[in-house]
Amino acid sequence: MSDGGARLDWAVWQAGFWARAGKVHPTSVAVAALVDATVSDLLYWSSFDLDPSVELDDLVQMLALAQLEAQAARGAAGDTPLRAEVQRRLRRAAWQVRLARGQHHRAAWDPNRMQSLVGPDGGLATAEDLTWDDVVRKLGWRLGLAVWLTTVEGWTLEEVAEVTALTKQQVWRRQRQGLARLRADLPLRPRSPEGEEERRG
Amino acid sequence: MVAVEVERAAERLVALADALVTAPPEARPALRERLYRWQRVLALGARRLAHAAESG
Repeated sequence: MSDGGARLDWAVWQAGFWARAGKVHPTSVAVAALVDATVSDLLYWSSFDLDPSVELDDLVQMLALAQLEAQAARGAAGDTPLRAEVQRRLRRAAWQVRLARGQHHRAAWDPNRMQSLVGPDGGLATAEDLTWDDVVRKLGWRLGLAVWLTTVEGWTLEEVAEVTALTKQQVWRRQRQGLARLRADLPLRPRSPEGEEERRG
Repeated sequence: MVAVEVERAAERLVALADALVTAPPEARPALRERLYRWQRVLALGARRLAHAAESG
């Protein structure tokens, strides 16, 4: 705390506001009161995207701790401004909270599940089998292969040209022809009220 | 048509697999990529043949 109440203590005000809204524990207000007025607004600026309750409580603690650490570091090293030093430490700590929360919310990656989907032999997955069947039934082997390899597999024209013994130009023509035929066959929605599909229908 | 291309893919696959065994380490990633592409064509062709056999 500083300035004997002449300046508004943002940390206390903010923590009190959150406490009244049930977003932090009341004891966090007491912790916020220990924060220096020159860094107290960091509490608000660091709170974006953090969840109420535990994460905001943590933030109050982190701010107080960052201030203590910054003061100790200033004593040892010299002339770094207190606010900059506190902000740097607080930002790093808050980032850890966000990182942990992100990891908590992300789905666990299970390679075994993916393995079962793609099959053990590197062949086509079941969904790919069915889609490929549809494509090749509509377009035939030559056009279907060009469309599949370029649009589904994402191969370059050069890569497709190698496996089909064609020139890039020929691959490109087959791809365009195949896509045009697919568009003509599939019941696509019109892109606008005056869309082509609607006119054709 | 499909059978011819599948056969060609299989031949290329074998040739590339042989090349991969004796290739220097720095050339292997590119060879593996090519190998994978031929394998993919082979899988698509095999599926097409199987599907045609089921339908016909």
